[in-house]
Parts: sequence; C-alpha cells; structure tokens
Amino acid sequence: MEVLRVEGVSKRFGGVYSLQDVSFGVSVGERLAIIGPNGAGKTTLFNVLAGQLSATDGRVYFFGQEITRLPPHRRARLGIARSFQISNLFFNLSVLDNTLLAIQGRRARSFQMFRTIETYGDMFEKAERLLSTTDLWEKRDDLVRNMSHGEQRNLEIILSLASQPKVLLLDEPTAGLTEGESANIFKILSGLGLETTVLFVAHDMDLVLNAADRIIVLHYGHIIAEGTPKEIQADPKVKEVYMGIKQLAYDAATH
Amino acid sequence: MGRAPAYRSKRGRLHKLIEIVPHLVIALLLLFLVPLQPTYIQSLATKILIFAIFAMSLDLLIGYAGIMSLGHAAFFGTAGYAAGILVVRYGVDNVWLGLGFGILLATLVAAVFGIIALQARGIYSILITFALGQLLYSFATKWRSVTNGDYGLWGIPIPALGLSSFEWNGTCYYYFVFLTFLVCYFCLYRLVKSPFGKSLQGIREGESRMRALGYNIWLFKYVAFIIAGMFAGAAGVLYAYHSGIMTPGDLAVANSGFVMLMAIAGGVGTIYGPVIGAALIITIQYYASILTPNRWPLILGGVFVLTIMYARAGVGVYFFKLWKRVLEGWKF
Repeated sequence: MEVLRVEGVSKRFGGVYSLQDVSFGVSVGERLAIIGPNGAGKTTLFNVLAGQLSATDGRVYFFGQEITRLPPHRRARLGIARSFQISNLFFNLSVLDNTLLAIQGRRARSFQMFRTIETYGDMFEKAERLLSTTDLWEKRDDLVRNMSHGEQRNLEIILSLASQPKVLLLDEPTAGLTEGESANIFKILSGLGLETTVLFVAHDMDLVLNAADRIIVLHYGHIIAEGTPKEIQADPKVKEVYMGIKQLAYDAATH
Repeated sequence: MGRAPAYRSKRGRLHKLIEIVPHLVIALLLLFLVPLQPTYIQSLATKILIFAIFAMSLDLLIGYAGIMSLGHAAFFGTAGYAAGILVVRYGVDNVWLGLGFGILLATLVAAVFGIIALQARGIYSILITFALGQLLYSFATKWRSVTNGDYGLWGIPIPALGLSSFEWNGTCYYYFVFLTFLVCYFCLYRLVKSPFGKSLQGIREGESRMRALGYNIWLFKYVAFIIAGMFAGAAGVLYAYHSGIMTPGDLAVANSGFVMLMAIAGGVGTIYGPVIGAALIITIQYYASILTPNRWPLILGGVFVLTIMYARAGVGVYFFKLWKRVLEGWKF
C-alpha cells in the first residue's frame, strides 16, 4: 500500500524552480533515501511533504487523501513527522519538557489547563522510554541549549519519533556528527518497526547504502535516478553528477 | 481504573520547600499583618494586589506565549468602566454583577482584539494592540454621556457583597481583593504548569517546531490572549471599586506600559515575578510621588532603564535564586 504519493510537484521561488515536476510513491514500511548535491531541492521536497511550504504545482497524497494545501499541524496530526536539518528545538526548556511537548502534540490533552503536567504519569513513562534509547534520560533536567551538538541531533530525532508517526521525514539526521554518534542514529533508525515509513536525506553514503531500500537522486529539482542502492551505484548519470564529470554536457542535454 | 503514578522530579522535596516557604510567609503577612496597618498602607496593599493580578495576566502573554502587547490596559479599563457604569448610571452595586459584567466585556474585547492582533507578528502585532487600545481610549474620552469623558467616571463606591447588615470598609475590601488575588494566582499557577501552559512555552521557544509537532499555534495564542484579557478584566473591576474613579488614561498606552514595567521588573516567565514587580513599582511610585509630586514618572522611568540594563531577568527572579542558594547551602 502507498503511504505517500507525489504527483508532478513543482516549487518555484520567484523565477527559480527548486523542484520541477517531481513524481514518486512510497509504500508502507519503506526506507527511502533522497540524495543529491547541495541545492538539489531535498529540503524543499521535505518542506512540501510536511507542509512548511506548499507546492506551486502538483499534488501530494497521504494514504490516498490529498494533503497538498493542508497546514503543517494538520499533517502532523495525520501522522507525518519530520526532523530538521538545523536543530529546531526548544532551547530554553529542559530535555524532558521538549520530549513531553512532542508527546502531547497530537493529543487534545494539550488544551488541558487545570491539571499540572506532572500528574500525567503515562506521558512521563513514554518520555523515559524514548529518552532511554540514548543517554539523554540522565540529562532530562538540563536545558537543551547547554547540550552538545550530538545530543541535540539525537533529541531532534526523538522529538520527531515521539508522536509515533506513520511517516518520518529525517533531514540530514547525521549532519556534523562523529562516526560514533552517527552509529547511534543508525541504531535508532533500524530499531523502528515497519509500521513507520522513513524518508531521509543524507550525504553520509554509509548510512544511505546501509539503511535505504530505495534511493531517489535529485539534481536541480529533477529526479535524475531512482532505484535500489545497487542500481544507483551503477548509474552513470549519478556518477556524473557526483563526480562533476561532463557536467556541462549533461546540463546542455537536459535543458 | 488506576492512574499511572505521578512523575517525581529528581530535585524532589527540597525543591518543594523552596517554593512553599516564601509563598506561605507572604500569604501570612498579607493575611494578618497588613490589616493591622494604618489605612494608607492597607490601600497601598490593595492596589498592589490588584496590579499584581493585572501584571500576571500580561505575563501569560509576554513570558509564556511570547506575545508582546501594548494594549493590555484596554481589557483592564473596559472592565473597570463596565463595573463603574453599572454603579454610577444604573445603581447596581452588587460586586458579583460588577465582576461578572466587567470580566465578560473584557473577555469579549479580548476575543475581538485577538483576532486582529494575532494576524500579524512581532512588531506589527505590538502596533496593532497599541492602536486598538488607543481606539478604546478615544471612545472613553468622546462618549461623554456614559463615560463622563476626560473628567473621568467618578463616584464609584466600595461595593456591597450582598450582606446588607454588614458595614463595608477598606479592610473588608482589602480582604475581598486578597481572596480574589489568591484565586487568580492559583488558577494561573495551575495553568502555566498544565499541558496548555507548557504548550505556550513551546510556542514562545519555537513556533515552526510546534507546528511540525501538530500544534495549532494560532488557536493556542488566541485562547491565551482571551484568558489574559479575562484576568486583566478582573483586575480592572477591582481597581474601579478601589480608586472610585475610572479615567480614560486607565485604558491607554501609558497604563499598558506601566503594567509591562511591573511584569518585566519582577520577572516574566514566572508567576510570582509580576507580583513582586507590582509591589516594587507601586511602592516606588507611592513614595516617589510624595517626594516629588510632579516628577515621580522620572524616577519610575529611571527604574525601568536600570531594570532593563542590570536585572533583565527580573528582581523577583533574583530574589528567588538567592533564596534557593541559601536553602541548598543548608544541605538537607
């Protein structure tokens, strides 16, 4: 079954197309990697899928329901969660408060005004479970702004996982991390069940080749290749784009 | 069905003690010591408690939801005028009717203003709250048959509580304000610690993340705006009865700035901060106006500048931190 369906999506900023006529589908449980050089439109694609931007043209479907014009909070409520390339956390709140906010986001409970948050034992248990996958539970009372980059990246992923999303969009989860820290992120990813579909953007080829079932290669807003890791590794066009060989010839051929 | 056990903070009992002791001491002082003081001190304390409610309500916007407002006095003034008009023009001196009508009107005004002000963001939103406040100000000056215009709506008596056999005086009214203050403090204290209050803090810290987590940001801000207007309205009604007169100035930007000064001087983002700020600013205002009847705003302005430069987190917050360090030093 298809979780996401993208049909002819374009996104234009003034005269520049960040995405042009992009179409693909994602089935339940798939791990789909989106790769491409800087400025290829990967983050724009995530913004269009999660609702931070709306497409100039084309349509986006979630389990057959059109969500092209839905605001981000409505999409989040349907079950689309995302992480951000540049850590987008509540820096002046504690790790625990960050996690609690993520857990209650999809619940009507967040409008409850007269019961202190401490009395919701179930939310704290869930926060403990989530944070215990890393060593963040021990640091739960620390302010996020005082944590290391690696810890913030971990929290970034935990926040997007907290709502038990059906689709998880991870924008460069391992950017700027050491090898050990990246391995930790990979561990979290591979621990996810197949009820969660994962789309991720990454420059880290180890992560892409190990974690992805399928790869989509974006270049100047176009999909130039799509296939299994093996197929992509063998694809001459991808080699050109990444190695920069015959770049000009390629550009001339496609425009 | 049993509820899951409540979460226990790592900080535990000491943390509770740190919070409870100052609350208890101040409550006991207000309950027993203030009524024994001369009338002018009682009146000063009444005014402090009224403005404490007002400042707390503004703090819900500034310190929690991250919404700046220069029109908060509009709700305060509307409610005060509403209660005053009820007494002066229609002879209704029942305090519950006054409070009910005043708060209702303030809430309605907040509901309308909120729709407009929250369309814009940042500095534009502040300008809209400012403009809407001034709109009500001109209403109050021009609608003379009802508001008495620039002369002010005077002759508002201390209300009866529905007990006719009882002689109402300043001390009784002080206790009434104190009780109302306790109710408001408790409600707001619960509110900021509730899931809703945490959500407001999340919005203050990062709107885009909150949206991505499924929060309808606009709705949260709007509800917070209305609640803040409600509490400001309660303060406005109490103020009308206390001062005996409502003037257009009570609705205007100067009063909004005055209450913002209290909230910031005491410490926004905490519920006790604005209370301490109100006590500080009103006491300074009182004694400064005795010292120099014409130049006291200069002194208040100086206090504001000094606070912003050297105590941006708020005096109340510094007191609290100091007290915490003392207790932790004792090693329980």
